[in-house]
Amino acid sequence: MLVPEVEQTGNVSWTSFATTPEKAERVFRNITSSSASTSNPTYTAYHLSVLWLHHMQSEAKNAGYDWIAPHATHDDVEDEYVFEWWRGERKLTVYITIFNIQIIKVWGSNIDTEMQIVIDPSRRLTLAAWAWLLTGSAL
Amino acid sequence: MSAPNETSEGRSIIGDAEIVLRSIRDQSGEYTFRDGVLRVSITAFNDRDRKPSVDREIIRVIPALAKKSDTDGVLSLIVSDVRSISNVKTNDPKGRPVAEHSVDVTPDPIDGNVSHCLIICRPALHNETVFKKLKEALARLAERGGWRVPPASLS
Repeated sequence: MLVPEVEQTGNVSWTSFATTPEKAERVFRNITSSSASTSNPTYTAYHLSVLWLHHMQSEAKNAGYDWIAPHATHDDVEDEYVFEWWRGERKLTVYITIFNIQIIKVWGSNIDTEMQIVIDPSRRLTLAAWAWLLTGSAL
Repeated sequence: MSAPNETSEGRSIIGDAEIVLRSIRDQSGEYTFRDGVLRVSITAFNDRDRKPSVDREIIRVIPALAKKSDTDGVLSLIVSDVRSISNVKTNDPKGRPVAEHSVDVTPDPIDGNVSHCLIICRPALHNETVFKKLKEALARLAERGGWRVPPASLS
């Protein structure tokens, strides 16, 4: 099972395909735009996960927010990476496959009123979700 | 005619006050501790059929028997809490609700384990995104219920 090395250091490990933050950002934008990720076999869910984590970490730090290492797991059957963060009653869960990135905000056990799916994890929504996790309020 | 293990009203025979047990694999990512607090991952309730298995404590009697392997831990949930997970809705692509599901714990005895039961939705859940939300709710309830038996690495 490959899980990005985030647990010990809080930093995302780098692989040879993305050796600098700038290159990682370019690759991330490329493979998350339109349907490029579904037609480009060069990148796997693992690559996308590492890049996404780097992207989110950079966004958070640039905006002055702390970074928290996620709890990372991998579903071998679906090749899906799951990252979970908790802060008090708030929780953020991110699912990453080669086909999509899905974010769920959770602040209670009521499925209808205390959970929200973030449909489009654009830069703005990603940072907004992080801000919500840490502070409880949107940007 | 009602299904086996149900009353004539279609109600499961498992009591609301009952405790059900979920086996949690040790050092598998199914749980973690953050700031000293037990956090249950949604992966603890992964199930290909979207019907997570649990055991009835009233029949298992010894919670440790619910473990699937020696190093596993056992978390507990109260049946009424599981049933109270309401508003499980499936929407169409435009966000319009097309089905509303109730959540139940229903007996499912298997060879060697008559306490075995399933957390199910009625009607059956076919939407993976909705199931992810259900797993979030179950993970919260399991955190609240806590360990009946800690996993080996915490013992």
